[in-house]
Amino acid sequence: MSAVLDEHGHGKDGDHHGDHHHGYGGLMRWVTTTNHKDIGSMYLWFSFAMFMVGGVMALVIRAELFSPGLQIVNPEFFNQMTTMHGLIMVFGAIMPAFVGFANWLIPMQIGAPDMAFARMNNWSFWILPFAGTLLIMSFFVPGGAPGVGWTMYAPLTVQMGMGMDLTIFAIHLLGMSSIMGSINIVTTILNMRAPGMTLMKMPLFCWTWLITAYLLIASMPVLAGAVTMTLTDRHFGTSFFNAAGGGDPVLYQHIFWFFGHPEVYIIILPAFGVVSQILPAFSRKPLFGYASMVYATASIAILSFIVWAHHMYTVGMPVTGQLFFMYATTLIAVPTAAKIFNWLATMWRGSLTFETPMLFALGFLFLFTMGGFSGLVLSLAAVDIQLHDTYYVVAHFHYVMVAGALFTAFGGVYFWFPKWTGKMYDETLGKWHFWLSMIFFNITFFVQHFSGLAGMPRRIPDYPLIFETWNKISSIGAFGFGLSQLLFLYIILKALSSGEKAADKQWEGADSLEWTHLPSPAPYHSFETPPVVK
Amino acid sequence: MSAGLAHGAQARPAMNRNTRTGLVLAAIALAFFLAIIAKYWLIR
Repeated sequence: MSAVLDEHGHGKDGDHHGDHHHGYGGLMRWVTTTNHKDIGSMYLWFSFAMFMVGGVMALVIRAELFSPGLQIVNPEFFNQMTTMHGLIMVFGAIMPAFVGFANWLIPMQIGAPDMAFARMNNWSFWILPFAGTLLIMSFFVPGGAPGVGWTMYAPLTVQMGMGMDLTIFAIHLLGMSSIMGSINIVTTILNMRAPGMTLMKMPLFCWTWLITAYLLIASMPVLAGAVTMTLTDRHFGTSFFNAAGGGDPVLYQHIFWFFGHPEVYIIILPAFGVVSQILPAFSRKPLFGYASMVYATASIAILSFIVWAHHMYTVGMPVTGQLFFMYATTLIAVPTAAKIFNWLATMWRGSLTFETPMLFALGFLFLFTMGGFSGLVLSLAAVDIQLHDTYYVVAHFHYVMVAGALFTAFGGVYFWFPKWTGKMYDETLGKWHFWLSMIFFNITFFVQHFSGLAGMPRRIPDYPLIFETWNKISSIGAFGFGLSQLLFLYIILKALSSGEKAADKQWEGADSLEWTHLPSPAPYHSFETPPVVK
Repeated sequence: MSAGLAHGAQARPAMNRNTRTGLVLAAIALAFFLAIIAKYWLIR
């Protein structure tokens, strides 16, 4: 996007009067805040804390898998680790991270003073710590945490202990938080844009979040319905999914993946938005094919609702069904490829520089494309029947989730950190963080393609000797990747405490309102008087 | 679409408009939640 601003009377100075908060101090400031910047920061810190918790669980998994045989944990606990790692990373880490970006950036990028429902915004966030606590508490109740996998398939869920109930309630809370956040985002974008900021002038990050929010509103209630039916099967005598009472366990899989596949795009579309801000800034060119990016994003979102059964080719569905879901899934490659080519074209003949945000965006571009291609491999029903539930699938979705979403989140933090805090991070350390993450990520996950192709099943604590080498390499990579993230924490804390002052427009090529119209750090209250966008 | 209604003196109409948008979206979410349960509870 390239918004041209009317500078008359709406300059940076006009916003300086509101660069501090009023009301409670200390902890109560954060409990009671309705400011989108405070809430965005809390989302980001919460997601980082959950990222650490989920990361430790991943390391327990990889430590156990370092050698064949059972060494460190028993199989039940191993299953609990895989389940909680998935749930915490998806619902506690990645999703809140991008909601944090949305809170910080959407009002600033559309020229609004805050989110539409500021009090509900506070509630949306403060539900999360309780949901996270419920999830973690499930380890300490009789029977421990559920070991059913993050997909929570029936009939295992009907047989689990009390930890399953805590997890179901946690999912309800997380869903409520996401839906409220989405309602806030859609309302803010539709109703509170500055004069002249038409939809097609919005930065692409706002577009991707607008579409993501609609996806959340349509898919989260379906997950809530699925886990509610699981709850009533467990305690109220219904038999939605319980075969013993005439229910259908496969029905759960259909309902779950009707939510679950849009969920993949709920995670990755905001990441696309972040990349679409970073690449033009460091290419010093406008985003290539802005309109086609918007339409491609919308196409991906619509298609995401008609591909769910590609996750369940092996349940015994008719060949015509497999064909439909196979063709629909491969069709998603078209708008996704349009985006990849648009990003490449954005860089084509640009004045490229390779600061840390750009490195993470390029890492995303390279690795997400690989994850997309392995997804195409898995979309083919005949191939997937061979690879279903193997480590090939684990490798595929970690290329999408970690290299796709997480790398982008890191890139986004580095990109907007100067605007958020008014301070600069250490560029050298940032590049170290990128290269360590890049190398260790590939050591961890690239080899999992090989163990998967060789037939190693996922979610097992023990494995035949033939898989040992790949697993050893993968575990070494995982510990390296985990330790590299401590460097990220150090970089952020160092920058917060002693970072150099950042310029108002730290990145030469950045052209959205928060860079062109607000000082660094962005004032506590921005755009109380709306800018006029031409 | 008349953007920026939440600003300044025109804040009140925007509030109503925001509330209306929010309620419509909340109703869609609630309808999806109830419909998915009702479908498999009542229509099997």
